[in-house]
Order: sequence, then structure tokens, then C-alpha cells
Amino acid sequence: MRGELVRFPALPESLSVTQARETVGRILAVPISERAGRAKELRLEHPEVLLALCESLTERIEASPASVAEEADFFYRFLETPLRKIGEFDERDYFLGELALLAGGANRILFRRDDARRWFDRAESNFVRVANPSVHFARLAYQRLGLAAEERRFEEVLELAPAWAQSARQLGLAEDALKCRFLEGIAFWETGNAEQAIRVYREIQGDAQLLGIPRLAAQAASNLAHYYSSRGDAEEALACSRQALPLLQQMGNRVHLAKLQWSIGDLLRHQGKAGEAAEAYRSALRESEEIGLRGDVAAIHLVLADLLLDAGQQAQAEWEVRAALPIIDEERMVPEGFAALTLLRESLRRRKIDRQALRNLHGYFRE
Amino acid sequence: MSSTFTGKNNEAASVFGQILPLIERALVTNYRLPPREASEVEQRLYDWFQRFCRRPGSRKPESLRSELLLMACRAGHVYSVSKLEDLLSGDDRLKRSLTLGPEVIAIEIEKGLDKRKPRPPAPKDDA
Repeated sequence: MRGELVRFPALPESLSVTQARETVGRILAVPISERAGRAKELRLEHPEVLLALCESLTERIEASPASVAEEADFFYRFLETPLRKIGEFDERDYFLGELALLAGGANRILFRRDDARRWFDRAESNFVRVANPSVHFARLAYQRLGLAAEERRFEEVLELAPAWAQSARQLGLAEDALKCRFLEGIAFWETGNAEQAIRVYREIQGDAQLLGIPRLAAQAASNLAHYYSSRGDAEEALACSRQALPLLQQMGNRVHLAKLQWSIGDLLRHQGKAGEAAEAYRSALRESEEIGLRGDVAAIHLVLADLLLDAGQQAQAEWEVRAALPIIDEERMVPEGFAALTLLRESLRRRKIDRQALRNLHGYFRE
Repeated sequence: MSSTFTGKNNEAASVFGQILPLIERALVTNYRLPPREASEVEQRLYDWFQRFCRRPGSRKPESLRSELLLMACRAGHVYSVSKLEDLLSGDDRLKRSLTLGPEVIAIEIEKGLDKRKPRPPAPKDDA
């Protein structure tokens, strides 16, 4: 074979960043079932479009994780089979890795942990072939640590989060470094080190403001609101809520808005305002249902049951528990809390809810 | 070059321009690409690099020149391997490049650059 016979395929039509973003808007408006058949017209294989698509899905993941999971799944499978020539050199592997990471992250938010794990493995199998892979491994490590935190493997988180935060900083991933510290803060809180958790979140809040990452500053304030509220420190909790609320609303961060409403419910409950607390919890419940956060939905039902028991409303409390249990069963959410779940179910049968089991169980859901 | 550049991409274009002579040398001298094929590969590397610099977590383009050179050598390597049967006989330099692999060749070329001349000043980050 001679050199001049080795030909490269034609270059894709050139697109500016703006044109690519507009194209993504048009693609996402087309129902998924129609897209593959219109792949050429929609430019589904254009690398500039795929780059803009990943950017768009990343921006939307906290506002609408269910749709991001669905979109990332579609594009991953579209690029994967049949084997398509996408962009140049490592770009096919990169886009497959990025889409799998997005799908995994969205599934993690949605409490679909087994799916998330599988997507992270897919991301890894693609990222291993791209240029500069250490950056993507660090991003992937954060997601896996997030999963560990949600599965209450706090010892693991406390060991690995500082190490990954350090690696992320060295790789120039300032935002990912702060995100690893988020998980460290959660692990401190959940293992009873409240002071350490609050210190970590104060540092994150300051660093995020310095680095100009308002999203993380708002999320840190939201977590601080929850922690202060759980400790009954109403003044600090309200101050943090006031810092977080407008930023979260502005960014359309519905996941953290729902969590903030939940924290406000906790705060009102500590203040003895049961009616207003129930309202805040129901508002968090509606938001979580709309986004598809089934884990949070189950947990808030249990928290509401606890509140209703305080108010002597046994029948309504039972209703809330009955609303939560099928979700916990369907999603196989708390294998670690199996004992508490069994006790609660048993107490429900006896028509006398076991308060300790109820509290143990909803504790498993709260980050 | 075909792509439309804005903001940060100007910096990627500038870095590419600085490294282009080395890329060309790698493709033509180390991997024996004919000039026309070398130009095609350079165009593709340019398009790739400006998107590569916009991936999440990417550092400034100036600090990604090793990745650019490595990808150039990988492209040259793949091209040359496809022509191996015809070209390998009697070309010691090509044989050496293919035996050592693109990672080693990219490092050799980069070291040569560092010895020859000081780096140009880093362009401003206008991203």
C-alpha cells in the first residue's frame, strides 16, 4: 500500500460556538424517538455540537437531573453503536466518557445508585483512551466519592476526599477540589463532628466566593443553613438561608432549593412552629417530586410523619409513612437501614409507629 | 483553518501557531508524511486542539502544548504504521520512531525545543 492511498474523511462543516449552541437548542426540542432518523439534518455527529451539548447538560444537571439522565443516555448510545467517526483523534472516546459521566451524575442525584455506578464504569472505560486523562479521572473520582457519601461509607470519604481535593487542585480543577471538600464536610457532619463540618463549609463558602463560583457558595450556605437549623441555631440558619435562597433561585438550582426548603422546615420545627414547618416540608416535597428526587420524597414523607406524630396526628402520620415505604422498596434505597425499615413496617402493622425506627430511617437519606 | 474562533480559542490558535513548526517536523521528518498529508493532519490537529482546550477542567492552552505534540506524534505514528510494509525497509529514522512510540518521540522533540530557544511570552488569557 502506498502513502497517497491513505485518505482521511472529509472535514465536518465548520460551526461557530454560537451556531453549535443554537443547534443544541434545536436538537433538544426534537423528541428523542425522532432524532436518530434525522441525525444528519440535526448534526448529531458534529463535534462542536457535541461539545456544546455536554456544556448544556452540565448546566442543567442540578435543575433537571431526570431529563439530563435521559438525554445523556440517548447521546451515549447514539455515539456508541454503530461505531461512528466522531470528530478528530480521541474525540469519540472523550464524548462517550463525558456523556457517561453526565448520565452517572444525574442518576446519582436521582438515587439510582446501581445505574450511576455502571455509568461511571463506562465513563472510565472511555476516558482511559483520551488525551490528558488524569483530569477526567479526578472528575470521576469526585462522583464516586459522592456515591460513597450517599451510601454512608463515611470513613472512606474522610480518607479519600482530602486526597482527591489536593489532586484536583494540582490539576487546576479548583471547582472539583471544592466539591471534594463538600463531601468531606458531609462526612464530618454525619459522623458527629458538627464543628468540623461547619468549619469546612465556612471555608468552602469563602473559597467559592473568592474563585467566583456562586453556585458552590450558595450550596455551601444551603448546607450551613441545614446544619445550624439542626443544632437549633435559628439566627445563623436564617442568615445562611438568606444568603443561599436568591442565588439558588437565580441559578434555577431546584435540587438545592428543595433541600433548602427542607432545612427551613427543620428550623421552623425547632422553633415550635409546626404548621409553618409542615408547609415548608410540603413545598420541599412538591419540588422534589417534580424533579424526580425519589429518595428525598421518601425522606420528607418520613420527616412529615415525625412532625405529625408530635402533633398527635397518628392517622395522618401513618399515611405519610405509607407514602414513603413503596418508594424505599422500589428503589432499594437503604440496605444499610434495613433493620430500621423492618421495625417501622412492623410498627405500622400494629398501628403504633416506632418513633426511633422512623428517625433512624429518615436519617439515612439526608446528606 | 476552518474553525471559527472566539475568546479563549484565540489563545489556542496562538499556541498552535507557535508549535506548528515542530508538528510539521514531527510529521514530515519523524513519520515521513508527504507534505499534502501532513497539511491535512495539521488541519485536523488544529480543529481538535481548539475543542480540546474547551473540555471541562482543561488548563490554559499554553500549558497544553505537550498534549498537542503527543497527539501530533500519535497521528503520525498511526499514519506511518498504515504504510509500514512499503516504507520500513531501509529507513532507520522511521523505524526508530515507530519502535520508540509517539510518547517518547513527543518528549524528545519537546526537549529539543526547550534547548533551542526561549519560549515566547504567554498570551493573555481573555477567556
